[in-house]
Amino acid sequence: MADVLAFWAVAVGTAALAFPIAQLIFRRFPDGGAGIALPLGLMLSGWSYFLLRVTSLLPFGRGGALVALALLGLAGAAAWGLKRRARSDSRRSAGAAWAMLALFTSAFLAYTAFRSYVPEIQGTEQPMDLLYLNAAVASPSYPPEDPWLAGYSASYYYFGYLQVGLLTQAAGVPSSVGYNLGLSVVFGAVVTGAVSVAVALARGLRGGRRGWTIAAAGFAAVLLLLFVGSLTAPFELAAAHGQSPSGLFRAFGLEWLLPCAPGQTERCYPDAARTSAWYPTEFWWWWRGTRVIPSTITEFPFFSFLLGDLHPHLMALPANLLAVALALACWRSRRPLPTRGSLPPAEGFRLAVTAILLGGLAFLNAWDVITFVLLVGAAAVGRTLSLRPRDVPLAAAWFLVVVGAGVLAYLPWWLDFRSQASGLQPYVGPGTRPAHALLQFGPVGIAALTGTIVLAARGRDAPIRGAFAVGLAVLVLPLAVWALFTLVRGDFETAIRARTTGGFVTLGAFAYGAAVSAMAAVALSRVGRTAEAAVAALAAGGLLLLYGAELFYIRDVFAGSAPRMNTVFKLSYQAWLLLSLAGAGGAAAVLASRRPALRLAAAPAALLAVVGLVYPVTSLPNRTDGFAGPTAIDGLAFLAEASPGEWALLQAIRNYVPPGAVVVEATGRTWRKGNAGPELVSANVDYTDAGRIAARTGRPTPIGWYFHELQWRGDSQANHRLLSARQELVDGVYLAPDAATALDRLRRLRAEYVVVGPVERSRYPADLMPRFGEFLVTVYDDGIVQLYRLPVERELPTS
Amino acid sequence: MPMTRPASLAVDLGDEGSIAVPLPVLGWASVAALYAAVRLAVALNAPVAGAELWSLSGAWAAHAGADDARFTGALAQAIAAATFAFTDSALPARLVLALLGSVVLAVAAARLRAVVGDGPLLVAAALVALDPFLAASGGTASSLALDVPVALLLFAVAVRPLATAWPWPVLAAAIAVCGPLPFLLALVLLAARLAVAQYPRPLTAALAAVGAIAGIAAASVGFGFRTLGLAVPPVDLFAASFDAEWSTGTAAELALLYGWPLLAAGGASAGWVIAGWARGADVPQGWQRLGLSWGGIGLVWLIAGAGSHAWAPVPAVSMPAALLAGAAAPRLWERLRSSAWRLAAPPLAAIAVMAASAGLFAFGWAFGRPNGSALLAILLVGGAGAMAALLAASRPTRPATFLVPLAFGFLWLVAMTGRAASPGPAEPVYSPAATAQGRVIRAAAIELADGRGRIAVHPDLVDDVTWPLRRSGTLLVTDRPPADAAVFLAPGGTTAPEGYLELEGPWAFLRLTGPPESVRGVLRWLASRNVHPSRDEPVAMFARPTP
Repeated sequence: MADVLAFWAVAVGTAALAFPIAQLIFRRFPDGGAGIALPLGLMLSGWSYFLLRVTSLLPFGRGGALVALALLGLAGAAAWGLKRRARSDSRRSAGAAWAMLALFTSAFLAYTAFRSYVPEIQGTEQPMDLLYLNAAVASPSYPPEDPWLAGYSASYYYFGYLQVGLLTQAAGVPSSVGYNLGLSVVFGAVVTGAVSVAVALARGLRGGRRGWTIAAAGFAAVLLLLFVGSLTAPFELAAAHGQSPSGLFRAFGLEWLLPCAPGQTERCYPDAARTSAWYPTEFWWWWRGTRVIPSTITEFPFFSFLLGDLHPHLMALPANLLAVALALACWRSRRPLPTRGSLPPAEGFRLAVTAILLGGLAFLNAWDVITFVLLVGAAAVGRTLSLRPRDVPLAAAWFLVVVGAGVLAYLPWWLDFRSQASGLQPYVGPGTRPAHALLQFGPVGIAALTGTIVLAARGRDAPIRGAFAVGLAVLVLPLAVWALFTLVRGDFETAIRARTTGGFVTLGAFAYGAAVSAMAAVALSRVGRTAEAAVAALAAGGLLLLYGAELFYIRDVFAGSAPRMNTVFKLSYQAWLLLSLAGAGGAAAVLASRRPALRLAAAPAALLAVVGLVYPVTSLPNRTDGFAGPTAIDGLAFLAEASPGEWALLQAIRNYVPPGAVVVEATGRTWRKGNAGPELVSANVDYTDAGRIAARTGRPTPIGWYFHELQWRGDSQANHRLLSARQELVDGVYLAPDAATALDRLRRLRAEYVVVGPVERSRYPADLMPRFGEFLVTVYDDGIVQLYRLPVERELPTS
Repeated sequence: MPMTRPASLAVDLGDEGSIAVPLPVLGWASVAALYAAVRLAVALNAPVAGAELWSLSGAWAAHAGADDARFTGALAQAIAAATFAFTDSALPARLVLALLGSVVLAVAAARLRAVVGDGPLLVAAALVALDPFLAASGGTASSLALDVPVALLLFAVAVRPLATAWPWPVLAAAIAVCGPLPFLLALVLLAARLAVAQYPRPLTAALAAVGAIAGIAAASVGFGFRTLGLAVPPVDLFAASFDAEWSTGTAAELALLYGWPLLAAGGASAGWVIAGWARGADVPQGWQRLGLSWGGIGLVWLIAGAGSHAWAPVPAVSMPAALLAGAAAPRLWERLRSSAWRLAAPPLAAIAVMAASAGLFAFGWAFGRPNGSALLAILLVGGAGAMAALLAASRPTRPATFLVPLAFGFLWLVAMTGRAASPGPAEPVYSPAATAQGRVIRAAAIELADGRGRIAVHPDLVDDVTWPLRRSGTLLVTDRPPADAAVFLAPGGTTAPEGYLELEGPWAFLRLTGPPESVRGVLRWLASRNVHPSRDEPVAMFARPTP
């Protein structure tokens, strides 16, 4: 409990220190930016921590994290002084700030309570997430070393891990606790961020007047963004209880949930009823809710928080909400970008903060940077266009300067980052079936579109020409570019045939939805309905992302097997956020309206949202085994019972191995004793216990998850050679014929420690393993696990 | 403060008449004497321990040309390293730093007099002189030795700005080469100025920047002792206060054990100020508001570092607590004077008797003596508390109730300062401490190795041997001593290497003394400094027998 309180206190303290900065930027928000102060504070303090560590001005350890937070306080004080009406602003937003604190605390504790039932950091990619968190916390040098490739800097967008690491260090909790509490902080920050943005939108829709519908908008935003899930859940529930009308299931493309026909063994179920409780008890059935569209991943926030992978796309959610808030602030501002005249200090400060925020988006999750930077740019430049059209070129230039400054602000990261992305390609495979699109995106998509249509009526007096042109461009341009691409490549016909009719229906739905929303946004903005235009723009943005993901993909290491998997994954995640906020704005408009026809028109959207709640209601008890087991918050505490040897080894590493020391552990490849020497049995290392010491402690090891390293550094021949050579050397240590060979290989790896535990014994034949104790120093030996150190010999002058 | 003629004491000079010695002069002389006496006692009596041991080890390593992460380039370490050119004792470094710190404190106090006033400042100075942590940090040669004086000087300059900007490079350079306290205070003061949009003048900012850069540059080259790369000592030392083993007990344990009177007095004074401010009845002066901010940041550091093994954050709270308590002293004095002492005297006497009796019974219980009784002690304390409550219930005697905690706190403070100035063989505030036996081990090792080979040291002992084995030639750090090693020092319990014999003896470089762990333990510790348990970190000494 002390750890939970300490973590909460540090998070709240960070938000408090950043609150004056939020008030300076989000002055017109009803809460003064209180709901997004936390991601703002984390971005700014994380940036200063990163730069000061890289320049060696900040040391490794807890003190460095606290100094970074102290500097945030300094920036907050400067912002306080820059606000012209400091005291009145504070009094006005004080109540809202306390409300946000209560909301954050409730959400933080609620998620912590849930996670305490499933705290284990194991399975899926959680070891990788813990690895990067430990890299951010435990690396003596910065940029942090990649613990799964000793001697090389991390090549990933690890800013989120750095921010969680900052909280972890400042709170003084172990990283295995910080992992879980980091999830709680992200959850809390998403709740307050969504409410802050939705309330700002709703207040604008009401012309600045208060009302209960504003709070309802906040509630709707949280519901749509964080709780509504895939519509496959009702089908899963029904099928689990033996209720699966074949026609209905096939109509929605859920054949694999049907009982097996006689002689059928694949994509079906052998038993009709498959649950022992009111909810489906099949192991992780809810996983399928994100794999509905073949060869893609369509995660949504509730799934991400349910699963508990502390991944960049999840950790970026608060910052993405911050970017949306920034766009909204620009859109409502009288001077979003400098135009003519001098640059007041407050404006300069605001621009500097904006640069750091926008630059950090790539560092957080490279997939998000283009979408959200364009969103902010469109809002800022578009607002200038509506107020002072002749100043647009200057405003656009300033925006480019800000973006450029943002890139420069994170230059040390850019220098180390290697992307696996290798170009934009047209998608020529099967399109998404309409039923699948409805199941996955129905609740948020239809809520957003309904809201847009309801609000569009407020712009009926707008001149149609400009809006129509924009709508047409949104509708036609992506398709035209796609067609041109495929024609040039010579696979236009293949692409047309492969997409199928259903795919074109889906494409058309996304396209028309995006076009209509874009038209509405332009029309509404031209009659001064800025809040309504913002809602429509968010809907347009979300639908455009889904439209784009149907036509194009970013080529990566999955190009051969699942070419658009990551593209659909990341873009649909962004779309979910934008559509949720638009839906919340629409909900506020519908609830505030006195016209029954409008409320009736919104009924389908409401119904879909309610049906979407079946997913969280049924998946939560499944994930936690009915909330029946013991609770804990330390993600590695399960090792004490599940694998006492590994637990002992973990404590030994923490006690005896200094941070930064290279530890040799099993590569994950399995060997057996053959007639002519060791024989490789299995080379599969990813998603296994390979690299588990490095992941759990941050101490670097020569090689971890091979395929993941390729994803991070690129699938090149040079990288294959490097990683393979590392695997050979490490395996060569455990299979060395004599001490001299083992020592030579250890020195070539620049290793200082070697572990021998249950994992090593399962991977290497015992009689082929050298007797390390005879030529290495035994640091720890309890009969089950051993930790060895290379002998030290050096001189120490004393006078 | 209004300028009034200070009260004076007439000193009869016999036939030559008499002279009037202003009371403030007497007061300052007394406080200065007390301060000097306590610091001198610490310098002469305190073992090399905790943060000082860490710091001197780093300084010695830099002087000897060894690579040691404990050398941070701080000014205090550079001064210590400089003294090692002609001595290997810690005393000269202690005296130099204590003298330098005293001069800076005096300058700061002189500057503050005009703003704070003699009375409150005298009380604050007396508390500074008597606080055990301020005494321990001021009389020893740790990297933090100059922190409190420089921080107070910075505070004085903030409260009463300089007429010219030219001293700023020196002040900024000092902040850049001291420990964390001046740096944190600088951040607080800067934040306070920024929050009201009072920006430093360009010349001041530029000069301060030049000074800070010069300080960082000097630290980065280790003041000529060892180049460190980019080094910022206050930040490095702040980080070390969380990770390094500068004390056996935690900061919270030691703060409660030794320093609660001043912390409580400061906390009560701060509460008094804030309450008056909130009511609008009593707006605090500017320097009091700054003092509150200073105490606030110190408290955050102390809370964050409560579980760490370093009492470095405690002086960060003690110093502003002393200032705030000093400010509250005149008002408290007036309240006490207004009390009906004739009515209050008998109950106060009864409280004193009951408290003393309770103490006797409690100490007896702690030592297991037949006349001891925890129950009686509790009853007597309860009785004293009831008496105090009666006093507080009556308006005329209510102010006199303050005397009870004041007296208890003062007695505790004096006792703890006595322990800091004249510590016993096992004092928690000076732990881990270098043992006197360390030099015995050194002498024995040198004698055994003389003409027969080298002295080898196990890697796990490297940090522990730096201070005790100074001026021992070049040691060999190795897991397994080579053939040319005559002596091998290893952690206790190490199996003798082949060809070596273990020399029997309770060898130890470090003595660890944790704080008492129970009420009984605290009472025993209060009553007798010789019975508190401590533990020596065992060392094994092996020698290769002569053929």
